[in-house]
Amino acid sequence: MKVLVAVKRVVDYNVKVRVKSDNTGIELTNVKMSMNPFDEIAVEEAIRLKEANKVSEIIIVSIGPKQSQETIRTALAMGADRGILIETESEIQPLSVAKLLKEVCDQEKPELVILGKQAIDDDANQTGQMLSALLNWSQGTFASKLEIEEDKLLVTREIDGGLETLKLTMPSIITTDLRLNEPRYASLPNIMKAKKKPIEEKKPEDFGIDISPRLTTLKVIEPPKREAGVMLESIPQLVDKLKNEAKVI
Amino acid sequence: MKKIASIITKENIENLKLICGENGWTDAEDINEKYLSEERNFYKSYSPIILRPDSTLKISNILKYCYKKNIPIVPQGGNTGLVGGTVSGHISNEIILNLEKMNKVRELSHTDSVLIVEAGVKLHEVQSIAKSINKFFPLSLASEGTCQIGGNLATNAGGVHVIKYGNARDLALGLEVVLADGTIINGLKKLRKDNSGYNLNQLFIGSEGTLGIITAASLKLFPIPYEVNTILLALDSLENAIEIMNELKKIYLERLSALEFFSNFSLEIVLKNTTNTMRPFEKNYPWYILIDIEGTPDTNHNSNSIENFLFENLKKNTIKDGIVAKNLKEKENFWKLRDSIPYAQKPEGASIKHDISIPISKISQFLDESTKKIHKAIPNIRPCIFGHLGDGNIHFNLSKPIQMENLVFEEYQDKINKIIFDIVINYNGSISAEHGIGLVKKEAIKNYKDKSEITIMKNIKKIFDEKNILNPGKLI
Repeated sequence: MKVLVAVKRVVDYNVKVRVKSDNTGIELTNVKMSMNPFDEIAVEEAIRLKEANKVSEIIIVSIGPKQSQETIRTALAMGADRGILIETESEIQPLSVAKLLKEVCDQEKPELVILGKQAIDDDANQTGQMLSALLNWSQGTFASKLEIEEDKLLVTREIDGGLETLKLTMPSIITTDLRLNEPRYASLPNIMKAKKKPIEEKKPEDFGIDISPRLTTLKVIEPPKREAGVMLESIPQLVDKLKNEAKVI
Repeated sequence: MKKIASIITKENIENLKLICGENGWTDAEDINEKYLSEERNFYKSYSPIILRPDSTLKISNILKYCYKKNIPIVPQGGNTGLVGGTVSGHISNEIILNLEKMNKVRELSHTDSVLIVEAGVKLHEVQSIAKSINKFFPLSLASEGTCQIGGNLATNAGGVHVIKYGNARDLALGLEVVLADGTIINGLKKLRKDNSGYNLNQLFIGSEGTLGIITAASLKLFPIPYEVNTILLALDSLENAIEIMNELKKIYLERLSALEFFSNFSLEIVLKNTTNTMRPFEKNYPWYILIDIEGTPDTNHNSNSIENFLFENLKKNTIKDGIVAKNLKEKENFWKLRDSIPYAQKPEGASIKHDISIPISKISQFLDESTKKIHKAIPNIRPCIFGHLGDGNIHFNLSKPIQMENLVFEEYQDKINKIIFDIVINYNGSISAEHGIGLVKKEAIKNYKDKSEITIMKNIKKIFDEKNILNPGKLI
């Protein structure tokens, strides 16, 4: 069974992002970029399936600028087999990503696609669901546990009331939640091996897909600054503040 | 030094309270344990009151008064020192003067790349203030969340970036200091060059509060380094580690900003005693080195050239295994393994610690010889060796044998110290690389430091503090 994993190059999760002075986006010069953390979990899950002999090949797809190749390389160093880079410098939104991934699926014919539940840069949380609709495949979103039982997938999801387990008929789309696994480190011997693994380079035009954005960003602004706390002397004072200043009681 | 038998009266305390003003002191019965204990649990402080003044003027007035009344003062910062330098009440009746309320930012200049802060600002706050204007303050050590910049300077703290940026000493452009008689020296210059006589600032830095109280400092800021590559390597010998280090220094020059090492025992106790840590390698190796290499604007070039260097060594077997941080979270994870070592040692029972430096060329010989000798003295003793390989600074810590009682092990302290210190001196090393002398090593330096140097130090102390009221009994 082939697995396809989509990965996105985003601003590192631990970077404190700064809004550009003209409010058109966030500052990206000299900012550390890494693989979207949910995608890293997706890669790890695919590798674990392969180690358990449930999967024969792991293909990594990334859509974005040239440097996304490094992101693919990271996934290869973790243990994936080969990569496909769909290179574009333009802004790319979830629907276009889903359409491109559908084309790749038509060519590669995987039985399982694993994606992060969302990318931490735009927090859209749409690509997996859109891809499922375009392919008309089953979907298990926000997976916190994944098992393969013969030709079925068992997907556990953390929902309000507890844990919900779905049984899916493959081919399927899975999106990963944070607790699914802890991704492994990339070891030097594996980074060395990854250098020899192939990465195919393509452009969105090769698939005949129009990737022009359907949504326009009006502006990006900083969240309001949190005001410093104050120490109060008494409970009546607290009640007074809650009533008259915060107006919550 | 002449000892003064100070008697602190109720009247003294009332007057000091008046000088410090409202909220500027804490009475004996309300004193929080954290001011009276110290990191190593060797000493317990006694102080009838904790003074917590919030201005240089108040500190000057406190010292004017204490000078007149012969009341000794122990200056205290974040109280994270490891040599009992902030302990009070052991030589005479002393009063603790804590600097935590001296916590204002006086000036922040992007153009001059200078930050002027008061002594009580915590080190991690100094780092974030610098970051807020896109600058970098490189001093970094395990206790940075608690320790204060004044204490860092008074003890000339080292930490993990010494290899590139130097000690605390190299990061201060000027100081404001209050002397024993209350005189305020305003040396808060912002100059990179100033040859106008003896450099008094450098005398106060590392004086451990025995010559004056540092109340504010003018600090050097640096550009934020380009993307840092963090790599953890596993090696089978320290000779290989040193060879790799020398190669890295040659190739990357000042881009090499940290190079730490630790033994397998150190790693094992961290994995055992620290939450949220992940085993880095499937197998165990005798030594690990943790490397930070600053990038250049062309990031692609960076990782490629570093990787190629590592691949070559992997092929030659000079590196056994390695992992490269693929994001900042992993970088933090790698550093957590290193930073947690001193804390992970606590649950392992009593330990005898040494903070020594050895010329880099002699490190492996030193470790061979000293490990053999201490094993002979105490079989099954557990050496927990780690430190800043890049500057030859080894934390040669020894945990007790599993079966031995803490108290029994502590009895060996002097014997073990003598074994280690004798070898250190034999290799032309120092018995205190970065922690300082305080109370813990005061006796030892008498035997291990040049006699005439000690005489000059004593004379300097007399000039600045004839009455011996500044941190008496410490250092000298």
